[in-house]
Amino acid sequence: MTAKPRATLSVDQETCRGTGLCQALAPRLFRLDPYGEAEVLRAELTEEEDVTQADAVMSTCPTESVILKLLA
Amino acid sequence: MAAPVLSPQLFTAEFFRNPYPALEWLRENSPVHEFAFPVDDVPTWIITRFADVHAALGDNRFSTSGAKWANDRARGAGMVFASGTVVEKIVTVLDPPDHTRIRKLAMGAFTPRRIEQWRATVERIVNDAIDQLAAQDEPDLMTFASAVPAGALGSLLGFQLDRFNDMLHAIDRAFTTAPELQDDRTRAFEEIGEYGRELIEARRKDPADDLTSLFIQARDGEDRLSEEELLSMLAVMIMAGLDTTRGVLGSASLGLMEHPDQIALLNERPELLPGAVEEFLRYEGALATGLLRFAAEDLEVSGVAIPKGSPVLLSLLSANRDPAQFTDPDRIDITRTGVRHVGLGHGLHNCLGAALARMEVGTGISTLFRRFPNMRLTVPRDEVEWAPTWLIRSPLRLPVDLGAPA
Repeated sequence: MTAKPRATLSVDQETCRGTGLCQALAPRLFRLDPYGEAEVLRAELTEEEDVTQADAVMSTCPTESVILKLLA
Repeated sequence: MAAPVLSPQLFTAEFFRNPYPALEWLRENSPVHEFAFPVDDVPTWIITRFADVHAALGDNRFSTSGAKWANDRARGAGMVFASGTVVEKIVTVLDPPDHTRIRKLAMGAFTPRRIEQWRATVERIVNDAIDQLAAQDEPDLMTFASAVPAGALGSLLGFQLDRFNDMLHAIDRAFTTAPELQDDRTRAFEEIGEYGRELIEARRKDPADDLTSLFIQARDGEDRLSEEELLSMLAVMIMAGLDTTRGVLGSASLGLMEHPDQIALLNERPELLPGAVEEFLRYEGALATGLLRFAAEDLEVSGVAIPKGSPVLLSLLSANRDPAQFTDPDRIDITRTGVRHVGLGHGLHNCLGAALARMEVGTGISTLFRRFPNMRLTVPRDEVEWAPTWLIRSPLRLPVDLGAPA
């Protein structure tokens, strides 16, 4: 049985400028695609540690391109 | 393997005047190059190809935290950023989690959305700075290039940064390589810290709706910043927000005067401005290298071993002129599309103030050359003086003839 997702994670590629901060800070959750823009490796986060990491990236991304939605 | 005897001298007067031939040699012959740092001959590596520089910037094993990772020789030579001074813990030289906790506090003020609210202010500052330039008997473009970031940063922090010229001078002094200047480097960091302390004291007495007050609240209210970190926050704003934009405004202006077709193109097609700003950041960004990295473990780059604790320079200037990444890299071409440069760094420590820098450079350059499209340098190119530091790429003076206004 799969654990219940705590949050969803995505990147707004319209605003992403490929600074690479997300990949450097949370390589479990993000990588840069061949065009240098960020993409998520996990769209649904089940572990609290991942949510904490995603939140850290969201609040330090220079272009506010990380979208983290906490689920009830 | 290239013979070391042929390798160029780094950080000489000739190198500061024109680093590009040496960097080209390194890219071609020794892209991960060991050399003796001018202070105490500490074994140091300089990486010059775009792909390697980009990868290392995004790799946390190349840490900026010299306090944590530097070997004894590098420590002894004063290569650890601001070591022993009040500003040794700026966010740029912290690893996570401290890096992240502190960067969070400032990031909200510098997002593109928040910076957009400063556009009218920046336009006013730029126009004032151009008026002052036009009023000079012997105009020095670098007075304009300095006044713009001083005005913009001052507006955010909530102060008239009256001492910005002292601070620019202190930053230039903090990153010299002459062995006999070690005490002066330390003093320069202390002076920047001292100014930060003055600004904090002034705002503690008289809080306002500005960034300085926001940082003080973070310290005094919720205790998320230590007093030392608060001071470092002001210091990093001063260090990262002045000389950088000064350098790009100066270098972009100089580059455009040498590519007059690009001035005409920008004036005819203002919609090219966002791409032009990226091109200016690529062509000659303000940081010659990132802050020193230190190998957090034994590393290997393109087959070259870099032992744990070693200092590493990532040459942003060189990466941005790498022909393997950019066609005709020594040419300014404001119509380049999809340019991914490392002029604002990359990875964990990528420029926090990028949106503000882009606004200052875009507004500054477009307004300046719209008003004075015929501006030209009045000294030979070879006589332009540059900041004599391993870190910063900036002209110090650019005597110009403003030419007939548009």
